[in-house]
Amino acid sequence: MPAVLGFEGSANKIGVGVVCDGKVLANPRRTYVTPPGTGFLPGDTARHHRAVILDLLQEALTEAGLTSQDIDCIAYTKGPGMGAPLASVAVVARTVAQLWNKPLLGVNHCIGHIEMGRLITGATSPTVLYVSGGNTQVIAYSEHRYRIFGETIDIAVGNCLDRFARVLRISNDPSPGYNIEQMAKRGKKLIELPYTVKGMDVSFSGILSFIEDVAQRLLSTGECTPEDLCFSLQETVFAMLVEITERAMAHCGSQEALIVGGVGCNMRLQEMMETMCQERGARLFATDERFCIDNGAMIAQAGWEMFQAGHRTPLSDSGITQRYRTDEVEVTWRD
Amino acid sequence: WSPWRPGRQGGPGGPSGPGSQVSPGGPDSQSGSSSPGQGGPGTLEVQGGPAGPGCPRGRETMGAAAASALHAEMALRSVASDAQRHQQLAVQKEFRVNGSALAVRWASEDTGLLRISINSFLDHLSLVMRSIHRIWPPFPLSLGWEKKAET
Repeated sequence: MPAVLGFEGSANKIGVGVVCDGKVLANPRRTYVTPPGTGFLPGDTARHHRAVILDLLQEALTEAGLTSQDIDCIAYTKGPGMGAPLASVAVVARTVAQLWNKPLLGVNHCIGHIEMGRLITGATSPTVLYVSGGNTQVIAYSEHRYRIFGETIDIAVGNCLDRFARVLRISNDPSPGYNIEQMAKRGKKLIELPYTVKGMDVSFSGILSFIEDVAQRLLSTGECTPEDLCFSLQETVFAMLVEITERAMAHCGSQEALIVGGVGCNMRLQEMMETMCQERGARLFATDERFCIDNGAMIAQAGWEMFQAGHRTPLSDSGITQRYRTDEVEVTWRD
Repeated sequence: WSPWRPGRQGGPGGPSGPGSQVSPGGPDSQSGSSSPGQGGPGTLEVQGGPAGPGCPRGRETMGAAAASALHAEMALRSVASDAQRHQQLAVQKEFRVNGSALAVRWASEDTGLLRISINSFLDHLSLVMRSIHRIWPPFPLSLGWEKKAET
């Protein structure tokens, strides 16, 4: 019954989680929130993570009721993500692994999301829509790899939403995407925006440029409200995501869809995906904000699977990497 | 108690000697006389490397002494893994452990990048120090977070 400690800190959330045999024993997290109209920079984010990570570690062990001797493996996010935050968290993971004399495991952040989604929902072999501030991919498992069927060719959908929030100076607390979602619920008018699906892929940079250009003019002339803009952006980008997911499901003959990643918390996205799945006779799976948003337990869970399958990361090979494709990992723990 | 203590060149509590300046080495910097670790436990020594034909514009050597060789080795393994990739980029970094002393040597054509690299190293070293201070010792096994919190 191995217990795995997982460290996550690839973006502005830092989490430390403990997982043992499919049970999440602890999952504390902190978020680095910047003022409205601004985003988070790597150096400042890393400084935030360095300041809180040891407290989070203590909190996780206390919540799990474990000591160092009960932990069998230390997992950490190897990538992808922002360099400085990744490096700061990896330094602590390496130090802890050496102090406690435990094996170290570098985990792919995207696979962490997928494995946590599979654990929590029980989905067997779903088509995965992975949507967050840093990544937008449609993924399906085949022959020991999580294959990317479609993805963004420029920015992630969450990045599009977050940067639009800066234009309207929407608060980043608890997250810009959450606040856009609440404002969108009050939107009444659909503003036509560019719709850019390119086969199995999507593009969001043009939509962002367009809405950044027209937002001030539309608002100043009273043609629409900020709520209308939030509503219109969501409807447009989420419809694109539903389209490429459905296309992948049709290609794979899949009867399950799983949404993971921070944007997966959005109830409107879940609603639209549910409609599509129902029309296809498929099932939709999604998690709540505890596991959708970046967290340490997802790294611990992926680490648990990898540990059981015999993976280990030597210290000499434990460097972080900002670019780490989902399909680079050989998924030996699945048939 | 702290496993690491900063100091000045020349020995614990001793006066600073020639060449001991905490700044990126440049074309006019003078070399220090002692190598990292010779100042004894608890000293942080900085030397500016001399510039010469074929030398990069900036070169810096920094040393820090830990309470034990074990801590120095741990620090090396914790911070060096990400640095190795930078060997292909604009800042070259070499790590060395001599007993309980960790020495780092930088070389770069760009003093701005040199400064960034040194600052990043100090941030990570500080994090390792705090981690060791919070978590060490992990054994005897009966001492866990709970016991540590009580002391």
